Amino acid sequence: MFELPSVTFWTFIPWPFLWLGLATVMYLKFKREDENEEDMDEI
Amino acid sequence: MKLDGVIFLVYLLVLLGIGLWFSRNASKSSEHYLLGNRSIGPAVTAMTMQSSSMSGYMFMGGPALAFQQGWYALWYALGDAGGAIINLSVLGKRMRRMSEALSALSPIEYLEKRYESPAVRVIGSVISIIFILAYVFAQFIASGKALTALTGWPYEAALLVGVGVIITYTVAGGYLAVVYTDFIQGIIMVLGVTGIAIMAFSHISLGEVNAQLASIDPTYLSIWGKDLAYYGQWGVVIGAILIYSVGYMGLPHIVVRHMSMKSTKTVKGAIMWAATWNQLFIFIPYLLGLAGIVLLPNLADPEMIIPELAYQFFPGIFAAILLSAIMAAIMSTSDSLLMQAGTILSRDIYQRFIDKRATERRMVWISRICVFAGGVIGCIVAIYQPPSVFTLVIFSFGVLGNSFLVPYVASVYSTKANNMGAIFAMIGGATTNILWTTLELENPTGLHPFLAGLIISFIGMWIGNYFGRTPSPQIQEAVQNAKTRKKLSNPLEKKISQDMASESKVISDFVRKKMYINEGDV
Repeated sequence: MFELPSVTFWTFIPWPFLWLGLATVMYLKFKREDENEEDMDEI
Repeated sequence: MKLDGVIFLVYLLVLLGIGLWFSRNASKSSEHYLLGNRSIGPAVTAMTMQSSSMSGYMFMGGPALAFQQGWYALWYALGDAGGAIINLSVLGKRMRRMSEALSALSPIEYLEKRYESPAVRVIGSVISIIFILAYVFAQFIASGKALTALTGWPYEAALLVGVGVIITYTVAGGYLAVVYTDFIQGIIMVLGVTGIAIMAFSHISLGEVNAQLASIDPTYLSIWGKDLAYYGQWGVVIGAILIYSVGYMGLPHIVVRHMSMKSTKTVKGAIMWAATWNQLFIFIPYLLGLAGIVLLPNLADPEMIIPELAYQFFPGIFAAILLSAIMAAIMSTSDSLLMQAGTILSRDIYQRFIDKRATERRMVWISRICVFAGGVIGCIVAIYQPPSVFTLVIFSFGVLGNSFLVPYVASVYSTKANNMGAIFAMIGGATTNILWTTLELENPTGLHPFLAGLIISFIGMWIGNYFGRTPSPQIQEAVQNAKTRKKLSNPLEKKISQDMASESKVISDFVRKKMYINEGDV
């Protein structure tokens, strides 16, 4: 892929997708925390 | 005047307009001037954090590293692309809560109040003023060099125009002007970089670039650098990843973005904005540096790859966008650094040690004078002592990161982290990075200066915690409460638990008897 050696390809190319995946996980985690806090406010 | 000059002039006028627009709001109080009254939403928080983080280095130093070392340079991009996600996830919510609970308006004031020690503030102020100003000088020099190269103006005149605009809108509009101009600059940066990338890679594909690199020198495609210069040096590679992935948590002008968020709910949106912006922006300058090896093999100054690519292959409106994007990167970092230097001088030095009873109105003006003074000093140094710009950027970045990363993270995660731990961590981290860099210990030890500084700073915090004062119950409670928002204070929760204990026991006994469970069976 992209005429790169396989080590270089697999070392660098996946990272943008991994970071976006981590960002999505953190977004969902914090969203759940925010919703729990809102529930506490209502109580 | 040519089209690129007109576009750039309009861009500068917009920045000045934003500064003047926010000047009235900024004058209301110190909190308005220094922290935007803690009212910044997710998109602006993300963009100001990222555009302040990405300096002129991204358009000049990063591509130059790729031009010299090939794909190895991508180690730096790899960490950088996740820096904001880590920073916001680790510090975001907790620091927003703690800074408000401690009524801290500056990141250095925050450290004093969290660690309950004026010495922490003094040491923190000294380190941050020296290295933030060094960082500012580097950005000012880059601004002068970029404007000179792109417009043909004399260096001094270009410097005065670029820096004059930054100082004017920062002094007038304070923190709000800085973050909203950063927002616009962040958009220009990503548009400029993606535009140039589309043009460059439609000219020659990435696959073709790599194929030609392999024919010039196959080690350009290696993860270990040209001529395998860093082969097996994991200490250097890990340091290269860490400096831009976790290093931002130690930069006062970036950490302050957590303190100015509208609420803790701002964090989740900011993470998504920053993550998307990073993936669109950060890798491209390095890839353009690789393209430069093929397209501009005789380039004398590798730092000018992107401007040269733009002017040789796609002149006209793209050159104007590029000029604005480069200046946006430099200016968005310079204004944040300048604002932070002014904040530390006014809030952490003047108000703390010279005039504790200064009125809000006086403090706003003192802050403005300090920002202006920092800008003027920076301008004079940039005119008379232009050192190697990006060496200075990486050095200042590394020292600030090593000084403050551990104290900031420990401040919100550990109830035991105390004043001596913070002092040892700051001094140990800063000293190690300075010695490692000046004595050039990276090659003989195989350890990146940032990684060495981080290890010593962590050890300093650990050892110092055995010698310092135990944090007061109020601080311990504040750290606990920073983890999650609590409706009740710890003592009140404890009292309720004690009061409920006897009733709980009666209910448990009742249930046990009802279910015919003997004590011995349980």
